[in-house]
Amino acid sequence: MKVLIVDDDESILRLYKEELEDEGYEVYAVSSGKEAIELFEKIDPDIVTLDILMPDMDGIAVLRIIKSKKPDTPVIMSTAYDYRDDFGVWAAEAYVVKSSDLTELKETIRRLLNK
Amino acid sequence: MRLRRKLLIFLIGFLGLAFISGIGFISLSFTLKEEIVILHTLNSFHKQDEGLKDAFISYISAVSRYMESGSPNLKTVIWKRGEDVRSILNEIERSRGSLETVQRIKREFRLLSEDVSRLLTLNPQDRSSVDLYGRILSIKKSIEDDIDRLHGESLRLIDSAIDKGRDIQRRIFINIIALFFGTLVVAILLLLMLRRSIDRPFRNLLDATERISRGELAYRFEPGEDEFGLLAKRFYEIIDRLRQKLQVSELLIDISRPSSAEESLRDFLREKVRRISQSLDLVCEVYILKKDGETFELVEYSGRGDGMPPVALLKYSSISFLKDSGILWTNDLEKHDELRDLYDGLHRSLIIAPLVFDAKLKGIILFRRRERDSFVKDDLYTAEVISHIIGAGIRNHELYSELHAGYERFRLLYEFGKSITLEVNIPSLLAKTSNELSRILGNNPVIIKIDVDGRSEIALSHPDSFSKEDLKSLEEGLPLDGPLSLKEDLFCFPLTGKGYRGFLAIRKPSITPEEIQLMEGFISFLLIDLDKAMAFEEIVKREREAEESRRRIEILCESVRGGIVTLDREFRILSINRFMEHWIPAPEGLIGRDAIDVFHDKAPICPHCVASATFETGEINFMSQKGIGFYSELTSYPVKNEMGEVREVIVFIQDISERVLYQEELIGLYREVMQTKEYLEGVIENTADAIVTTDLNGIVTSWNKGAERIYGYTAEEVLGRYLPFIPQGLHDIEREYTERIRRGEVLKDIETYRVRKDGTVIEVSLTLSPIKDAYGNVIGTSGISRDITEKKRYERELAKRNQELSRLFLISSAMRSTLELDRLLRMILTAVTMSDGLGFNRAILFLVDEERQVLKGAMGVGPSSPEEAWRVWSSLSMEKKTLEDLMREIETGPLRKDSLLDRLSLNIEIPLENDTVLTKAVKEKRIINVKDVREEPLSDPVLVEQLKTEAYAVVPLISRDKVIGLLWVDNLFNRKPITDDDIRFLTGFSNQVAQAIENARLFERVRLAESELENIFESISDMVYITTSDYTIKNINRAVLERLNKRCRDEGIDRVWRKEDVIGKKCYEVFHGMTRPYESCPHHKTVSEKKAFMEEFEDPYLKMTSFSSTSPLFDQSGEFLGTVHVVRDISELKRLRERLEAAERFAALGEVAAKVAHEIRNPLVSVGGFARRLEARLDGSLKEYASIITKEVMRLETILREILSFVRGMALSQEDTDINALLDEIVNLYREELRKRKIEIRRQYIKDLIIPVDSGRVREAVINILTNAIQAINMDGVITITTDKTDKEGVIIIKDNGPGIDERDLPNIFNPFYTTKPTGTGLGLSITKKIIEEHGGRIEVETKRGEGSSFIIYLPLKARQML
Repeated sequence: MKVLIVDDDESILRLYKEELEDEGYEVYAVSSGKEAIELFEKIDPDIVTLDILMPDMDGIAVLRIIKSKKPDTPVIMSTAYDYRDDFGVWAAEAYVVKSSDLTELKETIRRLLNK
Repeated sequence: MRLRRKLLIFLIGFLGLAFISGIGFISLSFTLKEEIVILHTLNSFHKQDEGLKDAFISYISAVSRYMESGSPNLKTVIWKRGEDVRSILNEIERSRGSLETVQRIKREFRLLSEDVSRLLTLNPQDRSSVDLYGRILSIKKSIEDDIDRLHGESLRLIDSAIDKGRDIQRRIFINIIALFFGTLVVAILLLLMLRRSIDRPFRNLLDATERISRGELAYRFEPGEDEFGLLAKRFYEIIDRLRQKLQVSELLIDISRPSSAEESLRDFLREKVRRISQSLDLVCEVYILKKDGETFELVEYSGRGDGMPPVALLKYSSISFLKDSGILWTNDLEKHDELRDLYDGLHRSLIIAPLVFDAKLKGIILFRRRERDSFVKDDLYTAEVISHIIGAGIRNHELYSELHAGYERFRLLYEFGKSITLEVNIPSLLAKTSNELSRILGNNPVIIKIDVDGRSEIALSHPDSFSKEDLKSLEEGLPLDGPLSLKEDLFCFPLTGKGYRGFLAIRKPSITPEEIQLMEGFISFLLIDLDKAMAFEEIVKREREAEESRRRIEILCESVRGGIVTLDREFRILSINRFMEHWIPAPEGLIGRDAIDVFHDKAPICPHCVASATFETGEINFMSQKGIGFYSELTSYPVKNEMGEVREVIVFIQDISERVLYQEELIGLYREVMQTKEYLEGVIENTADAIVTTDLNGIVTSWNKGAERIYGYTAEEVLGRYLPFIPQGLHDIEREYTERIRRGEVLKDIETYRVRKDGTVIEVSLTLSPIKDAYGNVIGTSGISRDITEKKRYERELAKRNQELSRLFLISSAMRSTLELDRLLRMILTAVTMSDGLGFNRAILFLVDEERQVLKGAMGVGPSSPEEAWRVWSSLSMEKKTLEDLMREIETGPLRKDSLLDRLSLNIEIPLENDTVLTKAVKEKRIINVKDVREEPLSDPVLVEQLKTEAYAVVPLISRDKVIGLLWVDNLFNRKPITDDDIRFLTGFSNQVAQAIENARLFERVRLAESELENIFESISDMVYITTSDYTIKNINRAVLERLNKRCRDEGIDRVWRKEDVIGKKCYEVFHGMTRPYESCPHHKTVSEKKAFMEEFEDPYLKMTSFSSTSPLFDQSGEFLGTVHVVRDISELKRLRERLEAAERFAALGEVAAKVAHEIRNPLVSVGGFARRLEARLDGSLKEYASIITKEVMRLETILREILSFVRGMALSQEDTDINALLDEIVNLYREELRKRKIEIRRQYIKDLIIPVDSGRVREAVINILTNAIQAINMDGVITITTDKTDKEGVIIIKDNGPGIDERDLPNIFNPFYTTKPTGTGLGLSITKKIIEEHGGRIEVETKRGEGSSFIIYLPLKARQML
């Protein structure tokens, strides 16, 4: 299972990568929206986790592009601040507030991939 | 047997007993008396015996003595004694009868006495005599024996008497014994009789009365035939009668018991009539007089079912007699024709009683009984009382209904009053009133018109309901007081109050007095509210004015071209104007800061340094300060309170760099002089002196180059000639010098004059020494001279300059010490004209009137004639005078106000558009010196004509690049030309003058501002009052009075406070209605802690929320004097502010939230995430460290989540939610926790509680409360969760039995960041509150210390309308 992680915070990126690899996923980690879209086309991941607040291209924009290309790929919005009021977010399959405890994230990925 | 008979028997017995004992005692007494007589007789016998014996013996002894002496005298004695004996013997015989012994004695004595008689005839010495005497003695012997026998007989009689006494004693004893027993027997008999006939019936009677009095009214005993029996029978009769009365009384009490107000009159009567009928066993009927006043209507009837009353209606006329005669009764109706109507054929006895109240017959009450003669007088009385009670009952019912109607009116008034009480807008107030009044009075049209401030306000309840004619007639016929009916259907009420006049009218076919009352009530409310609205408008206006004044002051402060800083006693900056930018950047941010921190050693100026002296002395203080590139003058003005203490200091700061530069210029000048002097001295030192030698006659012998240069003569010209340079007149002195030289003296440093070759006189310093020959003789003079003319001139110059400088400093000091413009100007001009000032003859000050664009003479100083001039100048001198002397002189001296020149100059006005020297000086800002007016075409004609001036100078007074006036001077009297030097000094002086004028003008404006401030104090809407340290009020403003009077009005207290009532009273009396200081009052804290307090204060007395600012007042020694309070009613504001604050806080927090989230959460995620990974891979203590990091990060994340959740304003997504299920779900989440802590959950749910909520948010809210409850209990406890609902709301109650919430915490628990837990964020409950309020619900908390807390959530059953 290929997981694409997008987050502008390198340490988080690394944490997620390591944790998810420990779970047995094939993890691709990128730190910008542009790279994310390029890599998405190349590797066609099974699931994507997206940070929202990123420089140059934000998570919502990336989500829009991904959904226009492959609407079936589940996307998890992972962010530091609860943006659920924002309209665009609801196009994603799930919404996880970042936490040092990754249980929720892992659970969500598992749930979405099992569907 | 009758009691009387019993008593008679008793009496007879008693009398018999007394008789018997009386007889006994009488007989005894007789016996005793007999005995006593015997004893008495015996006693006399004994005495007679003794007497006889004595008489006889003395007789015999007399005879014996005769025998011995033969004295014839004794014959008589003997005869007398013999008589004595005979008389005693006769006596004995008389008392004892002719006893034999006595007879014998008598006989013998007769013999004896015969012998004695014979003897007496004889001579005693005779023999015969002796014989006779012997016979006598023998007879005497026999007589003595007889006498003894007689005595013995007497004694025997005594013995028999004693025997008889004993007998009597025995008899008495027996008598007494018999009497005692007799009495005893009789007494016992009597007692037995008494007991039987009196005591027993009496006891029975007592017993009966006691039992009856205990309430056993029916108790009876069988009465006997005696009086007691009679008594008992009568007693029973009385009790029976009383029982009847009691029954009647009970009935009366019963029927007089007030009925409940709700009970109808008919119910009331039915109940009473039934009761009367039952208890008096009769038929009772009540008739009430109908409204027509003619007919009585049967309203209630009660009997034993035997027949109905004969009539249901009764004509008033048929019983009109009742009115006069009151109660009527008959015991045989058949006999009364006039009452035939009332006879029902059955009941013959009848009582009719009128129901009268308020002296009016309102009805009648009838009592009937079948039997003839069955009513007695008592019944009549009872009937009367009943009729009164029933009458009163009916009246009560009437009163109640009247009261109810009255209450209804009051309720309407109250509702109306309430509805308009907050209305301050006059049109809407009128509209409200007219509509409301119209509604209440049957929807009839109402119009209100008032004239306020020249405008008319009209309110109509129904449009077009009043025609123009109506209005016109209303206005013309406007009543002055009280309502007026204008037309048949038009009623008008006047409305008059302070500042308005108008009317209220209603169109209504008829109007009842109650309606008029109601309307008057409405109108009085309306008037009150109108007054209030007017007052409100007034207040709004005044506040606006105050605001404007404040703004004007601000503008003034800002526009002044000088810095203004206000400092309080702690040197905190209270205000600062924009001009301060000149010295310090961004001055507006400095308010509230410590001036020492801000300025001292940090800025080019320091207001604190100048203000501190003013605080200490209360005087104006000034100080020049030098900063980099600045010279500033700081002047501090005290702001004193009414006690004269300096509360604040206003510091004006002016940039005086220009002026200082001028002063520096002066100083520079001085230096220049000094340098010149030094230079010259150097020159003199270094130049070859004139060295001239002469012989003793003054013939020049040598002449050096120096001499040549100084004196102009060449050596050739003077050698061999007499000294050429000695001035005429000095030759004598020269000769003196020569003489002294001749004597060998050396003359050093003589200062004298010399004449040069060109004739000019120079001053020289001369040293003369003798020239001696080889023998020491003086042969000539050597003179070394040096030209000191220049030096002297400079020295004089220097002295003059010094004098000028000191004068200028003196003047400028004087100038700065006064701020009164007029005084200042006069001082300036005086300085200008004083001979040792600037020394001009006359001076006039012109000021530029900018509005009118003219130069106007402001003041003139100078003498009016040459004579006066000399006088003045000789008397006026600045030298050796103190500033005070100078000032006094200026005010009282010859140059005072109102001199001729002064008056002349005040009249001078020169338009600036004119082209003259003066206007030119203004326009070109330069000094003009007119040396001769005839040669100057632009000379001011006014001056030439009026002041006769011939030459003058004008100096513009420039302050901040603007000409504010001109200084005009001339020298008319001494004709001294005005020199450039004069001008130069005048210029320097004018700079200071301009500054001083500007200062004074500024001060004037400040003073104006101050008085404006005073007005503001009075007019500000905040309450301001000042109290002394013992709470006595010293001053208040109008707002205080208004507030106090408002309270009086609100509370209905008839009192109007005036300023003088309040001042001098204790503040706690006036503001809190207490007799000692009010602990919670901020003022009290200020008094006790001597610190300023600003706080919100709930005032229970004045009923408002106030923002109270109290500051302590101290005097110069730091003694606490009192306090100043500013109290603002913020009741309304508080509510608004609370809402606004909450909104602002959330908005602000929201903005930072996202940023915080990103900046903090991201690193936290990394730190925590990697720590977890470390924890999984490490062992031992390192693993523990990682675990600590993980835990701490989690804690931080929790806190962060709470904070973000609090500030995040998320839209609700409300869906119908089963609240019970939601609660169960939440409890389930905490199952483990609850089990661990042994907390029991009890649920009391109402069925089907479905509420549209955002279940996620509500879940969060409930969780917050639940976790609080769990933490409150900690271990072992019960949490009860209850759901319920009302019509509009669903209710969730979560109750714990923890320790409860501290009272101090209670007001704060919903405040964000308020927490009592060591690790809480304090957001839990505020989030909960926010969530509930977002749903349109509310949350309440009830708590009791030690018993736990209940949180009650109310959620509306209908979804909140989203805006």
